[in-house]
Amino acid sequence: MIPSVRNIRILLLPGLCLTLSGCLHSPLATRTAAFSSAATATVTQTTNVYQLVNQAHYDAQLAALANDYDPKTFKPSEIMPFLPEKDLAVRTQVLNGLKEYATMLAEVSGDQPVTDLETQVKASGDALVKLQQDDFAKLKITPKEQNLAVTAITTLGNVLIEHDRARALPGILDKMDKPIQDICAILQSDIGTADKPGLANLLHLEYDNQIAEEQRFIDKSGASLSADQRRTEIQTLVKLVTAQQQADKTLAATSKSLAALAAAHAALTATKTQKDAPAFKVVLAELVQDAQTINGFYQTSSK
Amino acid sequence: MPPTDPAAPDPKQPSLDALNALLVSSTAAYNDTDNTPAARDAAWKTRKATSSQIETLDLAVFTGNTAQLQAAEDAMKPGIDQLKDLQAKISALGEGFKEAATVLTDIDKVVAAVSALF
Repeated sequence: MIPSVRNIRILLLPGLCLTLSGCLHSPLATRTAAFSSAATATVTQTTNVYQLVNQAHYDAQLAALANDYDPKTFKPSEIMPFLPEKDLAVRTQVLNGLKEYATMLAEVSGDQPVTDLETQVKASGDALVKLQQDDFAKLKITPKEQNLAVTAITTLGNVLIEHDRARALPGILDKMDKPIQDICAILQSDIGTADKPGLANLLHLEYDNQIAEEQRFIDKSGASLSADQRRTEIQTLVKLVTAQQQADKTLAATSKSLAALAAAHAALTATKTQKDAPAFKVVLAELVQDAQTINGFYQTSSK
Repeated sequence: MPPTDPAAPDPKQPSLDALNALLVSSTAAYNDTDNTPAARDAAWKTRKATSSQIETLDLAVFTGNTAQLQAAEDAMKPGIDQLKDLQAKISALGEGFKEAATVLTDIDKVVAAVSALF
C-alpha cells in the first residue's frame, strides 16, 4: 500500500517535535517567571504596611478615648483612617500596577500559554476522533494520529510562543526598569526607618501612644482594679511592647524587600541576553528570603 | 522631579529628633509619680501635642511623595501595554492552532509559520 501524503506528514511529525523541543522555554522566560512570583509577594507585604499604620493609629485613638471620654468633647467625625484616602488610592493604584505587571510577566513567561494551547488542540483532536458520519470520513483520524498531531502542533506552537517572547520581553524589561526603580525608591522613602520621618516612625509612635495610654489607664484605675484585672492590664502593656518591636522589624524588612525588588528587576534587565545569570539568581534569592521574613513577622503579629 | 533617594538626608530630621526627645522627656515626666498631679497633667498635655506634631511630620513625607509616585505609575503604562499586546498575541496563536487542528492537512500552515522563523 502506498502511504498517503497525510500519513507521511504524520510519520514525520515525531522527528520534527524532537528537533524543535531543544529551543523551548528560554532562560529569560524562566527567570522572568521566578521574578514575578517574588515581586507579587513584596507588593502584598507593602500593601499590608498601610493597613498596619491605620490600624495602629485607630487603636491609639481608641485607647486615648477610653481614658479621656467626655460626651461633651467627643467628635465622631475625628474617628477616621489616618492616611489620607487620596494618597492611599495612588499607592493602591501603583501597587496594583506592579502586581499586574508581575502577574502578566508570569502568565506570558510561564507554561500556561502552552498548556492552554495543548488543551485547545486536544479538544479539537478529540472531536475528530469521534466523527461518525460518512460525510466527514476524510477528516476522521485515529487516536494514534491524534496523539501525534496534538504533540506536533503543541510543540510548534510552543516554538512560536517562545519566539514572540524572546523578541518582545527584553524591550519590555528595558522600558519598565526605570519606573520600577523609581517606584521602589519612593515607597522606601514613604516607609523611612523607625528614627527617620515616615511611616516606620509613625507606626512606632502609634505604639508609643498606645503604651502611654495603657500606662495611664493602669495608673488612673490602679485603686479600683482587682489583682487579676491589674495582671491582665500589665499583660496588655507587655504585648504592646512586643507588637511594637515586631512592627519595627516588619517595616524595616518591607523596606529592604523593596530595595531587593528593584535590584532583582535591574538584574533581570541586565541579564536579559544571557543564558545563565548567576548574579540574577543571587539577587532573586535575597528577594525571596526577604518576602519570607516579612511573612513570618505578619504571622507572628497576627497570633 | 527625580524620586527621593532613601539614603539622602531629610531636612525634617533635626525637627523630628527634637520632637522625639521632647516626647521621651514628657512621657517620663508624666510617669514619674513623684511629680505633682499638676506637673504630671502638664507633662501629659505636652506629650499629646508633641505626638501630634510628629504625626504631622511623618504624614508630610507620605503625602509629599504622592505626586512623584503618580508620575512613576504613569511611566509604567507603555511597558504594561506592550506586555498586554504580547499576551494577546500569544493567546491569538492558541486560537489559530485550534483551527489548524480541526483539519489535519492544515499542519502545513503550522510548519510554514515555524519555517519562517529560521
